[in-house]
Amino acid sequence: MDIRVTQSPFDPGAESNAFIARGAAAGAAVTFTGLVRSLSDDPILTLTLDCYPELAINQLTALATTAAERFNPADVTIIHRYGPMQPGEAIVQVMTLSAHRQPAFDAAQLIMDHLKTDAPFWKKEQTAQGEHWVEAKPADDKAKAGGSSPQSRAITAKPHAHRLPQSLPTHRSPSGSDPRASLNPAQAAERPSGQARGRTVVVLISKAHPQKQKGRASTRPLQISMRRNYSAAARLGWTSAE
Amino acid sequence: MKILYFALVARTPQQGRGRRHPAPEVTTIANLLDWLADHDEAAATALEKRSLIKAAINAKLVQHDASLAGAHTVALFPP
Repeated sequence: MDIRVTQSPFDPGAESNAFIARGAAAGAAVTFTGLVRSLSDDPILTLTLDCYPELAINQLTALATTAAERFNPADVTIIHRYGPMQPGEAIVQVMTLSAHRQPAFDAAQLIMDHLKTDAPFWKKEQTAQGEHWVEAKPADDKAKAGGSSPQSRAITAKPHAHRLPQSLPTHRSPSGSDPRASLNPAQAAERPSGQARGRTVVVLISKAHPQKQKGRASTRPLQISMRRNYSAAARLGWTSAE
Repeated sequence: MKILYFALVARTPQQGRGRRHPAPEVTTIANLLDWLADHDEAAATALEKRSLIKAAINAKLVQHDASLAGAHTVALFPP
């Protein structure tokens, strides 16, 4: 794990190449690079990031650790600049390595969704009209709370955060057993049979791959299956309640 | 105790960094915010939306009820 907070410009391509070179056993590398943006109808001259470097290192390290615990990537690197920057320059780069692509995507997604709200960086834009601080965006809080990707939502959303068409028989597992059987009594009481709930959704979606569900009684593997099949669910109109 | 202000909270250059010696009864972040507002006009303006201010003690994020015991650096900043 490599966490850097620096005022110096970095070369995104060179950093990516060096990162990939460290992971001979990995089958997937994901790189996200955030850039200083300047819109043609609202151009900026300079973006300055104020930062508390010691806190930033602690927060980014905690984020990378959380991502590593959840998705077990082979390696994670976060590079974040602060100080004055020009349009087109790289602000942040998140890189993940993993044996397979999905954990690499998921780890990078989680880090970016939380980095926007948890890391102590504050933007000040300088334009021809003067300079101003950029306030935190509600969309960033939403991304953190619910995940900006289907994968993140599936991981972070509460069980009741998804809905299905009421006509679908969502309350039975492929084997016909009540999925609430795996819950403790208090949890089961909160989830009446027949009512669409997150873990019930998981069971239904996993029917698309019944061979993968054989013999799986716990809800944990089913959650993984839902993440993998979320795009198919979205095409069917099964959307998050967020 | 070193007090750091960042971004919108640091409205004047001299306010950005500084050492302060709060009164003994100042034992939490909330107390400190009140004390700074009472003792520093610039801080009073910068900290007027008190509930939105975030804080860190010794480079660790904390809530407003966090104790200042052992704090050598307190940082105050916007969300």
